[in-house]
Amino acid sequence: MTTNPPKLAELQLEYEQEPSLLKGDSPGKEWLDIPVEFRDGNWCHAAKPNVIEDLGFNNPRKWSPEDEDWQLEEGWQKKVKNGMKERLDKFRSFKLFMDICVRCGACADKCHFFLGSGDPKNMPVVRQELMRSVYRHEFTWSGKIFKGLVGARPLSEEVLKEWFMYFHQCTECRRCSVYCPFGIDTAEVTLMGRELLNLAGTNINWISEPASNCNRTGNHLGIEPHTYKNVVESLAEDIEDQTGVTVNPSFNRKGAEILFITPSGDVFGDPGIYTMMGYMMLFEHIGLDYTLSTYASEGGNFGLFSSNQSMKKINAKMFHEAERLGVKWILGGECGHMWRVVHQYMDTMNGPADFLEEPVSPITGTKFRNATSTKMVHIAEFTADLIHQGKLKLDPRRNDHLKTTFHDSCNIARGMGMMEEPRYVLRNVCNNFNEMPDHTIREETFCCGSGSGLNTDEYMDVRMRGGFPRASAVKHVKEKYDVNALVAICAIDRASLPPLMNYWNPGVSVYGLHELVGNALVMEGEDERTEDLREDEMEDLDSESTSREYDE
Amino acid sequence: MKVIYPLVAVLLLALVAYLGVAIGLEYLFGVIIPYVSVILFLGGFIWKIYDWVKSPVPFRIPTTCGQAKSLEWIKRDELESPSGFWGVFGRMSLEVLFFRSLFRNTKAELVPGPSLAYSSSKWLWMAGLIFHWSLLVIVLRHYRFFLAGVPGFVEFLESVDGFLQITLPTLYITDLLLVISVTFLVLRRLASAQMRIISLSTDYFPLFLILAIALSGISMRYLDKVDVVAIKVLVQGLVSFQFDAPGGIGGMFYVHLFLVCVLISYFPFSKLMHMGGIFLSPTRNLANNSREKRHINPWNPEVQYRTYAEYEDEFREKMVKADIPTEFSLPSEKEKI
Amino acid sequence: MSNTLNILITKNQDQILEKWLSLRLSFFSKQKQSLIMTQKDQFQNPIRHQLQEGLKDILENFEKKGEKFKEALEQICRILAIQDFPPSKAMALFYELKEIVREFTKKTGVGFNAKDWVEFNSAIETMTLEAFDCYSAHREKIYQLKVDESKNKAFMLLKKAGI
Repeated sequence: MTTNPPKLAELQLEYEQEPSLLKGDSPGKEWLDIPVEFRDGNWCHAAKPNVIEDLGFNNPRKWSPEDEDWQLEEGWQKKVKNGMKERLDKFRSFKLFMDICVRCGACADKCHFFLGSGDPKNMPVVRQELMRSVYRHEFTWSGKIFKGLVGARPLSEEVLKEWFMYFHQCTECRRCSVYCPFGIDTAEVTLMGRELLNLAGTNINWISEPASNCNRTGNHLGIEPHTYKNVVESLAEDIEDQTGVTVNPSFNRKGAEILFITPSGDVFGDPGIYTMMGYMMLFEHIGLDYTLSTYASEGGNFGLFSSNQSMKKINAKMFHEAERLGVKWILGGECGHMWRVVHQYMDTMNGPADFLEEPVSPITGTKFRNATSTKMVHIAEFTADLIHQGKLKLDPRRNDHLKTTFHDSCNIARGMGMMEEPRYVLRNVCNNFNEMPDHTIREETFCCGSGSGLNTDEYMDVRMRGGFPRASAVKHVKEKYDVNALVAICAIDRASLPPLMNYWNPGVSVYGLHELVGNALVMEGEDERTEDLREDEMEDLDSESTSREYDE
Repeated sequence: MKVIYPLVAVLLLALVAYLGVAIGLEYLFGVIIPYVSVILFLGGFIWKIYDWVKSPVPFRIPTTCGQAKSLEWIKRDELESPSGFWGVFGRMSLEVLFFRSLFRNTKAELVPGPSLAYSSSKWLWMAGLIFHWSLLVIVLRHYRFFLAGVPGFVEFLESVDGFLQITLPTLYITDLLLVISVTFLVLRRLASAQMRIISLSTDYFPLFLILAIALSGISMRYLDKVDVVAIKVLVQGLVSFQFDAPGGIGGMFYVHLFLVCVLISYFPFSKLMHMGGIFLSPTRNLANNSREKRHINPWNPEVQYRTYAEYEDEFREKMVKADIPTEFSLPSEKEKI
Repeated sequence: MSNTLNILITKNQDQILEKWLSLRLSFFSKQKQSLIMTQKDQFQNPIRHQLQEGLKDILENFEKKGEKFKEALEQICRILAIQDFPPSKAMALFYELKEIVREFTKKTGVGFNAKDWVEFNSAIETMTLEAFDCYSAHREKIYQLKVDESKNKAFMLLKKAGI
């Protein structure tokens, strides 16, 4: 302790008078009156001028959200207002959702961004009100007469900034929509909000650039065909090194039975590549006649996150390529928003796919009746059928070093309704699988916090906040069941959950479902496996003979 | 502010009717305003629905809340992820009649530990349900004023509703439930901080209005009794387009009637239209079968995408070098020149 | 050894914890009160849950420190390091305890001597400095994650290029 203790009187004074420290800001203010504040880590880079030109959006320029002056064009308000009118006339969802919210508050605490930040503007209802307030002002008589009294306000630069911030703190995950008594879906409002932001020339680069790349080269990273092929072949070599089995992927091959499309993250990114290896091993194992395409080399569709037009433009390549190659049907890899687009938009936008056949599994003969029109099958459906029909030789003990839990991707769960298939596959390829707590899985799953094109590194702070509810559920199973493997069927998950886990729950790694399938597959002519696809040690297996056998 | 203004507005409206009748404007309040408001209500309602329906549903976007139709051996959840008409019918019925989605909140109560927020969301569901059903029964009960005889179902409703048989005239349970649930819904908005944040004056106004209507109605029945026969004559007159207002009904009735008129006139132009809107919600009323049956977008735009031919033109050389099949071979050196 | 103030903390742990937690939660919400404060479910409101757990561990181990104390600091700083308020506000959390205890002594009239107060102050300061280490470490981690992610996104390309 100090050698020169303060006098009692001094202490008394300090004790009585020491000023209190900084307090929370602006308590009690209405949310409308709290201005947005852009700080490092809470905004995404603005789209580069060349990207904007490429995509044909408004007002290409160099700017940053942190700038005081956003260099908006003359008359941007009019553009946005007209755009709003146009969209109200085109989308019943938008118009209806602007009118019928009763602000009952059921959604208030359902948003992962709200739960991770406590910011009232992240309550789904308030996020919608950001838009609704402008709608009232422009399009309803009560808003025009009573203005602020009924929660209406004019479109100002401040409002636009608020839109920019909060429509980029929504991952379009639809969790709030599950609890809404009228099914109001904030994702619809956010989608419109982002389209309007495009009209004002306020886009973010991480959404726009991949969309532009995808258009030109076929994938987000802008990888050209020879490099794409080269990379896939080197993954095939890795498979051979590890298992002794040769796999021979083909590219742009006419006459193949099936076109396989997966997000490019599976081809280029760690840990996505291990999932890609899993697909290739599976296809080799069952002798599937498939081809990859360098032209349609991207399953993901960042167009969904900026505008309907670019979504359609990017998606059009899938059918176009399938038709050119003359395949029978399309098989799609593990991805979230790709499947939102394929399941709910593709056929409407770019169908009908008359040139394809109704999908039938060439191995089991199973007809995929739920995909008779779009003619595109999800790999989890495909594999679940294979396992159910006993066509795969699997040794789940090869995943014994993993204690798994399963993260439902928002789009797969709430935009497609696929919950059981991946779980069925997972249970068959590993022995340790524990669910996260109720209300954090299936249709109530928490988003990874980086969906809808927000998985860019400058946005890490916000992403860590948004992913916190997910991480907290993982923490629970980690403590309870020693879970060390978080399995997901989404490329954005595979890219964004690793940093999330690394931050909140170090020791939990992220896996793709088909990576585990790849680990468990007992392939013909394989070398003895002691390591998984990541070259991590497997647990000692006594003998191969006890592996699960299936009758042909 | 958000609370005071609507409260004052409702009180003023009540006062207007009371004073208006006191100075002899019975014809205005008893005949003209009811007609105008019924026209506003019907016209507004139809217009609003038309306005919504006129915007198409470009995409099939149900929010799936359960396992979709998939492989045959996978158990599917038709009510949460319907694959066809009957599934959607079931889902919508649950939604409209029992507020299924709102109920979802209550499941959270299974989580151990005391949890105030959860029970309150259960209360929201219950209060909402009681409120809406009571309102429906009360509206149906009023049907007796519109017809010469009393229809059987109204008598049935009245007997069930009044089964407690306390007080004279018999206390209707729905009256009580309505007042309690509306009061709860108001208090709920006031008590919780985040409800205060999200509530607007337009959320309080209809609640206060309905409360005032209920209270004026109840007071007519139990306290400040009015001449029911005269009222029936008035209503029958209105229904059969006879435009004279009988006198001597009592001010409270006109307050009641006027507030009802305000409510139904306000209805089509406000959030109360959720009554019609719920049936049109595309995240609930569509089947999750978009891969099975093509959904048509009437304004599907023509979009110029990059075709394979354009792509190959740009990368042909690189593709050929990498042994990727191409549609056209590279021009030979001679041709190049 | 026993410090009157430490005893006070041990004895009134629940009330102090509640005060501390609600004071801190008010920082998260730009409103006076929000669901962040009232929603008590572990999974539906992880901020509240994990802060509560952490602060509780801090109070329980305030005198003896040890591994649990350190973990609690980590857990709390992990949440604070990514929020929208500046480090100064984040760190204020640890000073808040001083104020709460001061108010508590005033209210209950518990007597303590100068030495207790000095000791207590210094304990708070040490804790804050330790927390600052944690906080910085987590900020650094965020930047590390950014770097790692950019690498992982183009993993195969970098590998091919031999980087």
